[in-house]
Amino acid sequence: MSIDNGAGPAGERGSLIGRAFGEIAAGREGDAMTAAHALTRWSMRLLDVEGAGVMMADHHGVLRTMVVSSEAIRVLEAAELQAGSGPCVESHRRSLSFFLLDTEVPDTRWPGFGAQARVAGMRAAHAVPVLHDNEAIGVLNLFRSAPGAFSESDTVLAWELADAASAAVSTRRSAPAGADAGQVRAAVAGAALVERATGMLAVRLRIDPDTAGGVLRLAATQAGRSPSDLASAVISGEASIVLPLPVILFAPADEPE
Amino acid sequence: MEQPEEQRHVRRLVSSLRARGGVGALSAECLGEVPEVDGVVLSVLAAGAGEVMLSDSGPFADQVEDQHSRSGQGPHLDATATGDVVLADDLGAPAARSRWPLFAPEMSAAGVNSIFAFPVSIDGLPVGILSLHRGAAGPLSAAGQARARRYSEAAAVLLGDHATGGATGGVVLPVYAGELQQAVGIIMEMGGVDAATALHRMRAYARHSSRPMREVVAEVRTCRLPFDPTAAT
Repeated sequence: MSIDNGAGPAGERGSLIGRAFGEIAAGREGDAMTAAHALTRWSMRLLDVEGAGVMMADHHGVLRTMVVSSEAIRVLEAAELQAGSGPCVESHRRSLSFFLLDTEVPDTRWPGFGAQARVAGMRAAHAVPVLHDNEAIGVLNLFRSAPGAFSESDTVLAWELADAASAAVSTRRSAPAGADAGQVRAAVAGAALVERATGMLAVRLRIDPDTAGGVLRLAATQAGRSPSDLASAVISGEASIVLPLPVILFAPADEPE
Repeated sequence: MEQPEEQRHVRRLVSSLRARGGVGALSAECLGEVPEVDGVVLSVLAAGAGEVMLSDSGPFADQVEDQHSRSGQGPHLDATATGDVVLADDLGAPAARSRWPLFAPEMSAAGVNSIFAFPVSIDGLPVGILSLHRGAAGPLSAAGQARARRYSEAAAVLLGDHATGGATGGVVLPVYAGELQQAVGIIMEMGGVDAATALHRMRAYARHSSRPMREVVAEVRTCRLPFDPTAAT
């Protein structure tokens, strides 16, 4: 069996490997996604594999798929993440490398994984942790359509490629951490909905938008809901606000004599 | 490596932007730093609220945004889907027309021939887009790309601040971005249309009447509409 994967003479392969490390490390100037893309692309090109994917943990330590080589691999990784069981998930959890050499042989470690992998057309898997300070921050997942062991040279190269990505990703992580992507998108959406509902109320209540914004926030407080919650209900027609807003008077607290 | 230096650049940019109005000032600042383009847009793909423009600069910004949302195609959408930078340096060229058959011809007919879309990503997941556009076709210089990338990274940091900072009242949009959304709400109510249609009608009116979008937004906010909000465009 050739270890060149059809990449030509050993010298040419050497220069390809050099390029691979360069491009993966270039993620230092881009972001984690750049490194993940390069890692997936070069794994497919340099290793004897038919499928590859990169998973990374988000700020909350939740593992997510970032890049995959094909739709079938995306489906396979999604199933594995949902089940919380499989070589990739386990590799992240234990910061170790895991092999599954034949998906047709029942494996008690991950009972459901073999069948899912076969649906994706894969017979063997190798999960390589992307380590930072000896702790997995992500996983490089490699799949082969034929059963059997991964060659030693491929195994070592896969580890080295994952290490290169780790350097690129961990430097980006040292940037000050704010909210995660989902929170940012939800926060901007909430703010936009509040302003739209404000505009609608300005028309309905015949008041200027600034006043309408105040009315919406006050009504939200009185209803015990967040402004964006109430805004969304106003826009969908599930809530209406009429003036004057009800005034609730609280009985004065007993004053001690 | 130039990594630590690049990080310093981004940090410096973030502090100077914070002092000058945060994401609301970002597009104008970026246009000032990359004068080879004609305009800049910063928008967020807001879950449940569509694409929300946070700041813009230059006369074509609204048309670029409008054409993306009308056609469902274009460099912005590709950049946010893939997380990669999309450099479309000639929208009139056959390659661009076959990649975005609805978007590219409309855009070049409107006088915009190059769009450079830089994803704004947090932990590698795109949340929005910093887009530079220009009337003339042609590539964005390496220096322009480096600066745009730096602004897109600064945008990600500022957006992270915003979302965590306002835990009580929620995030506050930049002033004009908020006014634009209020105007959208006014058209939604008066025209009985959804947000995307409302925004498109305002933009279409601004374009056909050759009036700046900011002027139209200000007029709509007085609830005296300069156009019929129920008429399809």
